Amino acid sequence: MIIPSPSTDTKPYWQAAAQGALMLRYCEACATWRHPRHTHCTCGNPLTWRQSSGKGALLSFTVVHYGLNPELAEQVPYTITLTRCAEGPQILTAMPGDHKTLRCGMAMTVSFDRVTPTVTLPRFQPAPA
Amino acid sequence: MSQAAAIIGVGESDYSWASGKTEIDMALNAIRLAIADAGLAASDIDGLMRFSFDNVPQSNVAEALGITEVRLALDSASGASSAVTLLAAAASAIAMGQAEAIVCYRSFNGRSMLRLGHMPIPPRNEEGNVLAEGASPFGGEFTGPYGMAAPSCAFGLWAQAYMQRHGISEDKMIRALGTIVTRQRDYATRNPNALMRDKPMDFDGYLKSPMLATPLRKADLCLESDGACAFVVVGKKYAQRAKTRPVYIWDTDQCLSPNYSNFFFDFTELPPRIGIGMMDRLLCRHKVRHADINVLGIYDASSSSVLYDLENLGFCGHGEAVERIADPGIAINTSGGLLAEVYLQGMNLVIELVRQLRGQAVNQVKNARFGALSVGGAQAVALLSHEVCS
Repeated sequence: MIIPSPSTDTKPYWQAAAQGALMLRYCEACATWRHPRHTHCTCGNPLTWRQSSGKGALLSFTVVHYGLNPELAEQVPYTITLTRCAEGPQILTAMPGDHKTLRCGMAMTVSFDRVTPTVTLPRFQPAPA
Repeated sequence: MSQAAAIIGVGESDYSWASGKTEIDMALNAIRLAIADAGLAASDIDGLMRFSFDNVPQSNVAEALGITEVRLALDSASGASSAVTLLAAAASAIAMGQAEAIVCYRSFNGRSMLRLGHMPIPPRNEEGNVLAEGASPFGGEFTGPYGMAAPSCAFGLWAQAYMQRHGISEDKMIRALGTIVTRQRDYATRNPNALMRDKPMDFDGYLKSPMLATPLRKADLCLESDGACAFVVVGKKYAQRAKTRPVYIWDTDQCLSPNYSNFFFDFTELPPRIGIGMMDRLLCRHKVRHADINVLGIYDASSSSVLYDLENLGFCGHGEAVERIADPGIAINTSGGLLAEVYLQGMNLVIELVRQLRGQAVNQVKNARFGALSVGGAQAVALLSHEVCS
């Protein structure tokens, strides 16, 4: 299994995920949401963590059928999704299986998948109608 | 832009899946061929330029060739756009009188050493899990755990969004992509150095290529390969007495997006529309029309890049390339390109344009006068011609 190896900067993101919360970065100075990989806003201000609504829209997706390495060969097919959160930042996650019926623009909602006792991955999926 | 800078020598190592050679050995092979093609001696070379991520330092090349005075050694930091960046830097340096004969090179064991198309598996932790770290769009902590392992997956995201935005059916998209792949594979059958020279592909064969990341098949993705390319850029003095027909660098332009290397994190629209209008403005500066361009080199990391670049370069409207590609009215990637010749990150496309403009290509376009190059997803473009810039 491929699991995240957080840095000091990103540890809160994964700790929050384990508690069932999707955290994004936020700039108090210019009221801008940013992707969790950033530590500073382009305005120079250090970013804080702020909880996302966990809702968004599907920007795009692709169904991966080909194992790009031995680890992933055991997981195909899987569907990579790119969700634009309601707050703005774009979060990439994946769903096991072939979800070719997804449509760009559809409403997505986050859930949390405890893949090991210590690792929880946020995963976006279509919002219930 | 200098009007006098010209490419007068090109060289390639053998292209292979497993070179069994070091990258410096391949680089020197290509460079020596390029210098000989130019009719120069190694001692004439006073500039050396490479990709920043090339593993062969200029100092080692100079030492091996016996060049004692390198007046200019530069690295291009513009990633997949570097082939044009090197053309621009070399032409500028020539115009400024900072060097008289510059070798630009790229050497890469991209199959036998570092396979960019596959996420390398780093060491496992004690529980046997693979740790994904860092902010890379491929295999980083926010992408690796989700199987986003290589650019191919990002290109799948781009293609799906492109189809939906323009209302392109899957059938129509597959037909367009298959047209690009089969055409370039056909070109490669006549190119003795192309890796796919013995592997022509018809449309049925294309459909049988395994699906990689929808809607892209394995045949839609560029090769992973070993090899090296080099070319020599000179000013008027050497160009006038070159033994080959000089190919002049008329102009270049670049629009390097700081976000581009993130592929998908920060673009609200996919595929990213970078450099729109850049080629129009470049052509306008020289009173050249799109229709005057006879041959085009497009950085085909994926066949789909050809569609997006045709649109972003202004050869057709947005969403129209899927129709236009059936009969584009311009020859594209006539050596086989990155899909079928070799993955040397656009340097091989430069060499092919030179061959076309010399009239020496295996898939020669009749009376080729203007060639254009687009690399890095239309982030950087160049206009070349065998005519001196007017």
